[in-house]
Amino acid sequence: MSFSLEYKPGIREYLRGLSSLSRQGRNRLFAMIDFDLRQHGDTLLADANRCLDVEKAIFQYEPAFLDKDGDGLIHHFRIAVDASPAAVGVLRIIYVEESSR
Amino acid sequence: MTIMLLPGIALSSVRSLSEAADRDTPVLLARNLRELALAARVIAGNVRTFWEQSRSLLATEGMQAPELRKNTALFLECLVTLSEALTRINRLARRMGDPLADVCSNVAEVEARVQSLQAEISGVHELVSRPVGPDFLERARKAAEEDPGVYLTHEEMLAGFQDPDH
Repeated sequence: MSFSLEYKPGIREYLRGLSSLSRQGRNRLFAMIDFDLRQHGDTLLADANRCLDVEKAIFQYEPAFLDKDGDGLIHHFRIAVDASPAAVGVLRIIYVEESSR
Repeated sequence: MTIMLLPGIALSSVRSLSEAADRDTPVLLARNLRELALAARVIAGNVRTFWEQSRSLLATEGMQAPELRKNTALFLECLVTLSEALTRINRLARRMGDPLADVCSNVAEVEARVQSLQAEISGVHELVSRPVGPDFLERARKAAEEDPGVYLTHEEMLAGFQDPDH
């Protein structure tokens, strides 16, 4: 089942403001979010290990990739996903943290 | 994945050699140790190549952190086994003295490569194994409770990535 994704205000600015990420890196991140969350979000929701808060239906999604065209480091994103509107086909990306090595 | 089994095979081979050390002739033991040291060098090289392939996959496709955690844990386990095999080869070679000095130097070189690879992979493993901090959860909960405001759709988000002026 595929979902519509919504981004909380401020997240776009945060991701665009990551100067360590190259354009290709941003595209890679976007492609991963599209594939893993929009197209296959049900797999994420079915994995109890990714649930951070059962009551509020908050899940974590953690894409990681090597940004060869940027700083050459591996970037790890921890993304909080609000799945409370999943019943109507929507997942909300509500908080993001990034670390790299 | 067969390559990940090779350090274990090398370790069991060197264990057999340790057990046979007292009854085998020094010449036979020396020859076996030399061959095993060379095999360990090849295994270390192959593990490095395999890790480079994983890095290529990380660059072209990316991975989800749980998958990457399992991957790096497997590499580290494999390198620990290889280190143990190298330590045992080194110990046996030292017991035999000068005739096996070349084995000792070969093993030292391979050990250095293994340690460098271990350090690199450990760094990645730590990166993707950090526990969820209380701050993250608290902020996520707060964000979920806040007035939803104006949300961007994924298409608008994509347009924002593609067009720097968007």
